[in-house]
Amino acid sequence: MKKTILRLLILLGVTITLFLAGCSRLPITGTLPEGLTVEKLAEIDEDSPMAVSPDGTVLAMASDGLKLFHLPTRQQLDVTDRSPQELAWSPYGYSLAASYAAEGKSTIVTYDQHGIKVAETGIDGVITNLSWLSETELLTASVIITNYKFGSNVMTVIHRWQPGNSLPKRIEIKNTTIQPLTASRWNQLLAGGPMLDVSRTADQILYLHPVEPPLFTPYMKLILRDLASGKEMDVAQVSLTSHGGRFTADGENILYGDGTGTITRKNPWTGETVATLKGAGTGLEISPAGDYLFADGALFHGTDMLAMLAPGGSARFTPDGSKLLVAGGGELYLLSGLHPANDRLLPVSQLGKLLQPRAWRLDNLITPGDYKDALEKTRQP
Amino acid sequence: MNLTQRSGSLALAVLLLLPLTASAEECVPCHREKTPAAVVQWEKSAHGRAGIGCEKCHGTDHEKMKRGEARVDMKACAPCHKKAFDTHRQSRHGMGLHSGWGCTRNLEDRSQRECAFCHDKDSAEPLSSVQCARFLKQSAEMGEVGCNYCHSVESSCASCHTNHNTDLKIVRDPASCAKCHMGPDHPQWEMWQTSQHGTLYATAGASLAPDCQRCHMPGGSHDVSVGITMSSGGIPYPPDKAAPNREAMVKICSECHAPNFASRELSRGDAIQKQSMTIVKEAEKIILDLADRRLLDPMPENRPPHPLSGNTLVIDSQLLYEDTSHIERLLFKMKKYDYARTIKGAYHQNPAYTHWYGNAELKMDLVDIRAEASRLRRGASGPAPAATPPPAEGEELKVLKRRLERGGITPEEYEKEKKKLLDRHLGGKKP
Repeated sequence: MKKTILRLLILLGVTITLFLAGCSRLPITGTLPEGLTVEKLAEIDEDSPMAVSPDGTVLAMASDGLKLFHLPTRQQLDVTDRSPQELAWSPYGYSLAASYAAEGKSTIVTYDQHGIKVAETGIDGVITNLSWLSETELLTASVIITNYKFGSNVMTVIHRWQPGNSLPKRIEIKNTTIQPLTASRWNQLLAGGPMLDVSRTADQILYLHPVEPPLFTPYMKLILRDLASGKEMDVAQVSLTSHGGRFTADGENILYGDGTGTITRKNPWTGETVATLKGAGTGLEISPAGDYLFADGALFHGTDMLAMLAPGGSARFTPDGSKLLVAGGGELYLLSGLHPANDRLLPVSQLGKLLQPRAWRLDNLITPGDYKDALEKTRQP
Repeated sequence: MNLTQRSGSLALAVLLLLPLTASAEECVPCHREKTPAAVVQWEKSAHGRAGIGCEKCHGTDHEKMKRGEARVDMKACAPCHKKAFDTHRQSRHGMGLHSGWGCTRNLEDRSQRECAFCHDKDSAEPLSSVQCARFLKQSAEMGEVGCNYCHSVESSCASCHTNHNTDLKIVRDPASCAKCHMGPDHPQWEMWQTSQHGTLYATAGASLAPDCQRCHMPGGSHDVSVGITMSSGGIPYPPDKAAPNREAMVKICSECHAPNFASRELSRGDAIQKQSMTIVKEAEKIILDLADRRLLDPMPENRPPHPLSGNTLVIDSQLLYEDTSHIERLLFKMKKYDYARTIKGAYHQNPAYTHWYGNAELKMDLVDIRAEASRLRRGASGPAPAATPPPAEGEELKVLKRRLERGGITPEEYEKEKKKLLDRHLGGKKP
């Protein structure tokens, strides 16, 4: 009898272990906090780019080609059989931009909201970031590495243009020479391109650029730059393995992984560290209201980890912040039940008045305190 | 002292004197051919008559002399002419070299010998820290002829007395001052010459008219600063320094005039100085504002660096007339020529210099500076707008910031104006 009970207990333990092990391979299981639900949506390419349309209804993604996935109906539209490297919806969702790389060059194709091709532009170098600055203007970022006997020149370049209306304007924003050893050791990482994020107001960018001071360990600088004036501010020094950072929606805080195991939320204007988390900071995404965070495959609320969703995966919040699209293991999931941003976000129309004060703050013409006052006045009805 | 002792002393004196006269005798035969003027002047001079030989001033190192390294400076004269040396050193002439020179060690094609003008032998310590940007911009030749020929007055008695002459008639003639005190920047000689004082001097003679020396070197003093109440750049001294000088000048004038008359005339000069300085300050304000708005053409950062201040705007006494913008060149003329002529003309009682060469030019300079500022503000090639639109808040903030950084406004004023601009921007109101 005792042996039978023991056998049953062992069998139960093995069953539970196998069940839990099986759960851990799935992106989402019943370990989610109350109120959050998850469902599988579709197949998706490994490392696929994703872009959610501004109204939150269409996901552009790569799945054996470019697809437009209609979230309410779960219907999928095949746009092209070429899989893009980067995707970006224009602010009002009338245009979708996709970059395709081949033989060290990139082609940027813009489509209308129905997936009809509108314009195509060729750019030298591999485009690693793609963003819309307005409904008509695109911005791309790339890195150009030129190797010499004495070292390698790493140049961060952005291009700006109106697809179908103008040619890309090349702007070299940073230029550094690194030693041969550093270049060979970190070549793949450096060639991966400058992590770049564009602020919600499309006036400032955040990017990484390598620095190699003589006799010191090379590192990356996380730099904030005003696109109009070209004024810059160093936000942080991080290791070469950093995956960079993201603006919060109000542009007041910056979230970045230092590449050595810490994710920091920092106010670059006051220098204040708002919060820190343990993690490498891969695939960083921050919800529109700034309260949720996706990093290293896990979902956080504030500094609390809610669930490990998809290790090595990527995610995008919907514009209202209520849902998270998670890609991992070749599958796409939709996580629902997050607190939406609602009216916590200042409308872009009102943010427009803050563009100038934001630039003045970076130019040290006004203080962070002055800007805070201006922000409060803008919030007042 | 008995006769024997007296004879002994006389013999000793003769023995001491012998080498001197013997040395002069050694130089003279040769130099009567090589430098005849020097020999003739020396023979007629008090030095020659008293048997003060060549080596007393020049030394005995003939090779050094041939290399031009045995120039006789004031230190050679000082042991015998101590009072003159002391008063000279305390006076404005004693600062002549200080205000004319700057360190030339970093300039190309400079002779090492020039170091001796400012440094004692083997000393890196300058005798003066005062430097002149305009001097530092010149070639070695221009610096020597155009600057040092006057500014060497600090350390060279010969600058006024000439090299081998000792005849006081030379230095008591106003013409000896004219070498330096003439021209567009400070034409004191011309002013005096064409004033009633100068007319009287030329017609009735020196006994009935004052000349430079009578007013500025009273009683044969070597202090040429007596009675002067402002700096050489025309900035009034503070009252505690000016008052005794004014008193001294009134006393000098009162040798011929009633003291009240003298005081009144000098006070008129003071008033004209203040009025003229107001005009200069207005011009400076315009230029500072243009610099704040980055409208100078070219801006200091786009020019060769100022020798003393680098790539910054300089409109003080180190203002340059070269490698500058047109509007700053106008200010140079206004400040260094026309302002100086107005006030120095007034103190020298010369109506034409005070008004037409001074005041009128000064005011026309301001017209030119305002016109040039308008041209720069609207853009060199753009059409004149009907009304200048108010600058954007961002540009105004930058101008305010630059003004704050150069001390043109206080931090409190900056804060106040900044708040106004921010409110204007957020409220969407335009002035």
